[in-house]
Amino acid sequence: MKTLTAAQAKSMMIFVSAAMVEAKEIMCEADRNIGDGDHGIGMAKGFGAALQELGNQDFTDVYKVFFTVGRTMIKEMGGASGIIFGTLFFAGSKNVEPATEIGIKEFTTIFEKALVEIKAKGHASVGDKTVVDGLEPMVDAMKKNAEKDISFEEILKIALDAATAGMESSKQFVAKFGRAKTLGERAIGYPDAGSVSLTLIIKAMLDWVNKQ
Amino acid sequence: MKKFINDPNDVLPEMMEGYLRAYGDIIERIEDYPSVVLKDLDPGKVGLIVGGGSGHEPIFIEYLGKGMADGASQGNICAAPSPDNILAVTKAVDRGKGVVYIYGNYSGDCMNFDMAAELADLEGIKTATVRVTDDVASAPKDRISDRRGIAGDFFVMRIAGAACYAGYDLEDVKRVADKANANTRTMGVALTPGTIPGEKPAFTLGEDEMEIGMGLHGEPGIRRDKIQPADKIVDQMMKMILEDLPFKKGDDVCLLVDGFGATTRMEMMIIIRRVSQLLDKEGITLHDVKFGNFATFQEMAGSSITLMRLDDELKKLYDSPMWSILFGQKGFSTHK
Repeated sequence: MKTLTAAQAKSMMIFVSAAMVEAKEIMCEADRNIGDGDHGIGMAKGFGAALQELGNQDFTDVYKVFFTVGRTMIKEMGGASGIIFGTLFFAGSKNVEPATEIGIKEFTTIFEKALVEIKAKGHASVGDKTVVDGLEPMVDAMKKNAEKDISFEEILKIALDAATAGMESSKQFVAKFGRAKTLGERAIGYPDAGSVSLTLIIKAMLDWVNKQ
Repeated sequence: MKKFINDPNDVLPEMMEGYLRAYGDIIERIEDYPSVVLKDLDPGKVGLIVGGGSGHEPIFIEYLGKGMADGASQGNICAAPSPDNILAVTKAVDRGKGVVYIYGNYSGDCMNFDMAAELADLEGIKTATVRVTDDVASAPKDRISDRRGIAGDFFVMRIAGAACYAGYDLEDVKRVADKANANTRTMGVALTPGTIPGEKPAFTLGEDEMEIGMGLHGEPGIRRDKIQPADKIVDQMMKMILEDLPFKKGDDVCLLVDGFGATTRMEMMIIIRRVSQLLDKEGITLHDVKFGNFATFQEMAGSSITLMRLDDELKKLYDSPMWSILFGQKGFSTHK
């Protein structure tokens, strides 16, 4: 699979949203270690609302699918994670020319724009124990491979490996943002909950592609 | 933790039902958010919206009033309101003169309010933003814009509310609110943690321990010590406040003592007494004293001391008539 049509994007994001609603408890548990344990509740609420919005519409523009997911999450979630995870889909899908299908390069650009905007909004860098710990290496790895003649399955595998390694590396960091900041050194040993969620999103995308 | 709750999931909707029963003649709810606006808005004035996470009552809902805020946009417990929530409140309070957002400087709030400002702009509503950064302990002075907002919210919001009511334009409300923020300093000390319904306490402190500078959500402070006599604690807090601005001989200041939720008024009086002694010694004039629960965190015990230095403009605005849900009923000026 080397292109993603609007209908495929809708199918993929419905699959991802449903998987994220299912993963509520995993995300809460990741947050409970070093946060207040409500990350999964907000994420499940956001993706649950996105699931409903996607189901209500037919799409001819791929970007509109990602826009709908991101915008719905921002609207429904609140808190820092509403903006951050909404922006993951929203940043690269707003103010762009509609496209009936996109390739690996355009798909990578969505995440590249997301990284830029999330960093700008949250002022976080790699090492601050945030989603950026997973997202930045993921985007770097995708960019390195986006020009090659590879499939969605391959690029998502590359993305997942890099995001997972980034999530693992977040264990060694002291948090600079959010509730985990209050723990200081005690946060070491636990991954950032946002990085965990990022791997779950990418894993669900890969699972969907593998089913095609 | 023993609390008067039914289901932890129902705390917010049930709280809102209570607020609307208590103050339904004055405020109305915005959609199904834990957000409210004044029913009776004076025409032709700049709107003032305050906000942040729920769970810190009386802030933000009870800060609504004349010469105070027009709307409060609140998110879930300890979570920022979404941009759409803020936008809905913005539309409800805008009277064509623009809207000022004032909130404590927390990353979730900043991101959501900034996005709301973009959305408001698309709808043709001008906004201005003032982030309260009064918490001396939360960052050194050379990174003052990283500081969090705590009880000092009250003074900044009051000044902005007075300016809106006096007919200032949007830029001028922002200017004077920025000035109030720049002249406001707070130090807090935590004694026992608060608990979000259905969760573990936000932090732990030993029975004989206190943490100087700890934030409302348990953000780490400057140091953890054995509990000391009240005067000794106040002396340390006041030293940091006075040196930070710095406050000087001849200054006029307003004092606010916050109880975080569980501290008694008896203890607040002991604190006020000591603060006054120190101000007298420094030759600083106490213009007004406010005490009680302002920015709380459930049953958290501890206290913060806030000073705002006044100039002529701030004094005039601060002393102008007001009423609010927190301070009194409509028709009475309970200020001073």
